[in-house]
Amino acid sequence: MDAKPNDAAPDRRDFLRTCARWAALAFIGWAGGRQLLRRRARVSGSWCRADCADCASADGCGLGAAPRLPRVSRLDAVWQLDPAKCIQCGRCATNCVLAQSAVKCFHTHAMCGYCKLCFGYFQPDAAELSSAGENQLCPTGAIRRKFIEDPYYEYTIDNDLCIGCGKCVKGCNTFGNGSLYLQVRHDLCLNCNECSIARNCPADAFTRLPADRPYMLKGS
Amino acid sequence: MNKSDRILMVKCRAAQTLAAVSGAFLLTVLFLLTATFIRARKAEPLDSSLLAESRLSAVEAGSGDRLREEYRDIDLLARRAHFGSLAVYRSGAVLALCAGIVFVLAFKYQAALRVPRPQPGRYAGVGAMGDPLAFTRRMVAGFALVLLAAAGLAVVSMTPTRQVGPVAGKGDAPGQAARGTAAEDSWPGFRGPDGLGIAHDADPPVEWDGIDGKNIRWKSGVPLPGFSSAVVCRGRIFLTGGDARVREVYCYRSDNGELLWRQAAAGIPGSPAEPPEVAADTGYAAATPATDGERIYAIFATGDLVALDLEGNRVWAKNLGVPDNPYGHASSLLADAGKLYVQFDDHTGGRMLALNTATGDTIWEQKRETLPSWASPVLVRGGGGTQVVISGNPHVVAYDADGGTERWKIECLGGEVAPSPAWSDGLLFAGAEYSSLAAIAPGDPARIVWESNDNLPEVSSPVAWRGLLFVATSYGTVTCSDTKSGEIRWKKEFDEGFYSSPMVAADKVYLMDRKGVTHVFRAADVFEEIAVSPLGEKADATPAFAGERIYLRGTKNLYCVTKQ
Amino acid sequence: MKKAVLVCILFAALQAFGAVQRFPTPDFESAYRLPQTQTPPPRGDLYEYIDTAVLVAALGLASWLALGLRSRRGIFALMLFCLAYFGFWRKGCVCPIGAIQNVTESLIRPDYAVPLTVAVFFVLPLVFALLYGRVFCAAVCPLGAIQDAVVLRPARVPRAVAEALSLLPHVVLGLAILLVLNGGGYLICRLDPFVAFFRLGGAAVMLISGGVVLLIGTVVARPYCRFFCPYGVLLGWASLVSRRHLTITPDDCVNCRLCEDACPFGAILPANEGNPAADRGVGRRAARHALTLPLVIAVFVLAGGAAGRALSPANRSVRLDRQIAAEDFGAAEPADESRAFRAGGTPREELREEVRRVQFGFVRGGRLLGAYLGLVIGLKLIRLAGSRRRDEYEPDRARCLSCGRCFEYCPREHLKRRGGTAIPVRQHENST
Repeated sequence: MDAKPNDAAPDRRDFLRTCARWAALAFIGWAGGRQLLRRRARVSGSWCRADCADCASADGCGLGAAPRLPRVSRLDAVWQLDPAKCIQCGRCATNCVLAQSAVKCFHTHAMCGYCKLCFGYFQPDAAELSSAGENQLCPTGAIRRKFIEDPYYEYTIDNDLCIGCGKCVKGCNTFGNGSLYLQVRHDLCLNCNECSIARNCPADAFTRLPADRPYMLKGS
Repeated sequence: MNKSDRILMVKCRAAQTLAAVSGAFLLTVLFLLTATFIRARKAEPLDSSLLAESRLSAVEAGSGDRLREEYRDIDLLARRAHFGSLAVYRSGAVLALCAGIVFVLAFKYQAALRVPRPQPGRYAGVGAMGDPLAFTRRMVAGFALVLLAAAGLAVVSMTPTRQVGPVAGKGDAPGQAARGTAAEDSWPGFRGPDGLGIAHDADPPVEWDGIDGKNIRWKSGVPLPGFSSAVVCRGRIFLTGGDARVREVYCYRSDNGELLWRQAAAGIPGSPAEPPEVAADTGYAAATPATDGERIYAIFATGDLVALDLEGNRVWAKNLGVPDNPYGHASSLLADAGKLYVQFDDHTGGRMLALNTATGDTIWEQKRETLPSWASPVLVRGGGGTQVVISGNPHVVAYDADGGTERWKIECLGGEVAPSPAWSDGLLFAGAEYSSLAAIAPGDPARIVWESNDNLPEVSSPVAWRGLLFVATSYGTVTCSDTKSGEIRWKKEFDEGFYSSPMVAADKVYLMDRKGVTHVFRAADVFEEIAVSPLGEKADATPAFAGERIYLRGTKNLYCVTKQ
Repeated sequence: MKKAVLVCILFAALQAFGAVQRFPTPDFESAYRLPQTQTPPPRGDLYEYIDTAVLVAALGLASWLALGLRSRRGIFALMLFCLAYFGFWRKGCVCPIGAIQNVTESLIRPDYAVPLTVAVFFVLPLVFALLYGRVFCAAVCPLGAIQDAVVLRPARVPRAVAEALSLLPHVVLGLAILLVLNGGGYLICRLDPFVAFFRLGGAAVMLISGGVVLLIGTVVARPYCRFFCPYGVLLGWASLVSRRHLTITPDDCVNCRLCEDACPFGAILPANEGNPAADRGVGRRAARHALTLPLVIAVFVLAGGAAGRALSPANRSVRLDRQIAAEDFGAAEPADESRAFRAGGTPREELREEVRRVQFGFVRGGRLLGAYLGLVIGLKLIRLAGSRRRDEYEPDRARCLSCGRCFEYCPREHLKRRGGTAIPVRQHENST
């Protein structure tokens, strides 16, 4: 077969291509390796190692100071909201990308006072302490009130009805014990790269937690 | 057409029909979803005002009332609508997806069966198929210009028209960066720049003794008495004094205390033949003059307002009317950016004026529904513009400095309002004895952040500095409170009361009691007394700070205190 | 009502006792047990492994289908599968396009760790692109797949327009990196038009804009991929230097010109004889563009710095600071953010310090972005100074998405499929 003309030009191009390719591969390898080996700086909140026995944190963790971790972490992290920072603005109900927000009201019964007049259940101007619609604070009627013994009532949240508006949380925290609070439910949350609620939270209450300890429950 | 072709055509037709049907179905589902969405948005089932109103009437009605049943029905409908629409979206989305998949597959299938014939040469020309390179280059350059234009647009639209944001400046002073032509060694009016009680860049001594002359550079007699404080400008000190006969402005040389000139405020049209009655501890010259570096402005209890140049020549003068108030006019003047601000509150109602400093003409005037007050205006500067804030009875009001429009107003004071406001970090502090001391967050509407009913100032104006509010009362109590919460950090009882206002200079508070003894302590949340410096005579005026010097006015003399 | 008032008084009294529980948990006399708070766990680790495995398999399969088997049908089928799995099943997250932001953050910020899956999703398509070209775009990317599925009647975008618009992905890439490094959020995720479809629901704006993009996609093939995707910039660079790349012809190109309008993406570069008249000016033109390159870069650096500062409100601290300043001077209503900030007790000066730092970061980042864009534009103008002489029809390595539509148009391909052995071109010549 005759030699093709201009053989030199394609060869030079091929050589340059090969050089660039190897350089790119080497860079990816180097950067990747560096990230895998290098430890992340200590930072409070957010990440933590699952194995607390190895934790070098001096003042106990509680999702606080964490030891240096690899830059590329095998541990997945999920979104969660800090009830201590939440100001119950109501944006959790409207900002989630899901039609019904993944943020729901949680209830720590150990902190609850089981009051007959529950400030998270009843409207401030409730005419009487019954479960009639005009007396309830919850717009979807997601709180169930059950008589236990006099004068104690149990309040439980129906998760299918809860829209995460935080009205009950506001009432409970302002006048009651604060046993009601909002949390992200992880069986619903899609764990978006950037949480739409987190972006719009006025109190900056959202943070990422390790997937094996994904809740910031009150009273625990 | 042979058999295989016919089969192909049949297949093609079938696929096309399927595509058409599924496409139509897809569009229908999308249309229905959109309709549900629009309806749901308009109705806003859970948040609607209709629901809220119905609820209110239901609550007010008695039990068993029809209104309650009505509300419960509406509420049930609203909840059903909310969850129902969610279910519609869910099922609609799945249907739309299925229809979309069928449509796409059917369409692609029939398109694959009808591959169009290749048409080489459709796009002729040099350079890959089509446009000449020159045109391409121009398009690229055009896009680059579009990018630059977009950047420009971003800059123009995102930069706020007024600089709202971190204002350069030291510590607490919001107006440091924007201040005008104050001479190096100056003190423009009562309680200093903007009337806030803070001496920036001052480095005064802490100890002096007016009796044996320690750190006293000079001491000069003041011909006529007055309770006004000194103002300093271009190496001169200005004071006012007066009695029932005559009211005068005095000018001293700041180096040696030599009285350079004295000018009477006489022969002013509108000036009353008989001066009004004034209380002994107010006098005719209680209002501190103001200076803007070019002229000195002074006001007296007769309502006479004079403007003199620094040599003592009268530039303009007018009478604002005789103030009708129990003690005598005491509100000091404030000059800034070509305007002279006059707070004129007496029994005939109140007025807030801004006069042209060069001519005395009224730039703007605001009538106020108010009782007499003896407080002085302060200037609050920021991104939204400069505001003049005054304490009055019963309102604390802020006016726009340029136009005089009322920016905000809050009712919080009562009784005899003599202390002027203090300002720190977004909060305004106003107080009066027999009323309260309030921390106000300005805005429309303004709101009271905290309020205290103890340790209220009567004459002395509080000062706020780095998160701490210092208040001195006329019975000798000094308190230091946290500006944000009102929590008292420390409280100290002194033997003598305070009429003079506390001043902050070089991180210290200078507070002179009625006997003329200045207590100097740290401007901190723990009480730490640094020095106690007597003047040697009684004093009620507030110190003036200029550089390394303090100018103190006693009942008879003017003192210049500086490190010797 | 009276009860509420009484309790409020009681509450006020209790406040004096400090942080004691206002209403103590009762001691129940009956045998009542307190219910436990339910804490449903997030999805397990398993999906991380499955996703990575599927990605590797899909990339490998796509490479083989595009370069080895050369089957458009196979690529289409794989594309539909990946659309179903990565798109609708996994809801389009995590994706390599968004992973740019995570990876950049992890490289620059010392306190951010990127999950392994995200890093793998970022690196693997790039590695395959370095080896085999943009096979990721062909059959694996769900965003590309959904656009490719709705290509119904593709029209040709004039080359000039296509070249100009191809600068946009560089802008998007630069802006996304600028924002993510300065706390401005994740731009790429916010500008993803199709995620609302993958999630089968979303905000109206997202759905409408996604629908509009898909509608445009019926006539302009893969608009997001060609004119917006920032990851496409990186894949294009990798594909330029790839070891092997998809070819239109299985063996030799006979310049039959039948594939000229085969590519809906305009990625086929034709053979051309060159134009001696036009070529004459090439050297001078290229030199001229090269000389103006520093000026272009300088102009863009300045514009970038200014625009960067203007973009600083993307950071929430800057927005908060402006809001507070506006409120302080009566220009704005108190908002939840400023109330929460004041309740939090952080000193104002600290916020101002942070804002100063952030704005400085934006200005510096904006300048870098400007320099990068200036460089890209300048280099593109130099490249467009003249066209290279080509002997055969080949795909534009940076732009070709390896979809395989062009196989059908090549007679050599048909020959190969039917005969199994290709008749070498030279033999034909010798025989005549």
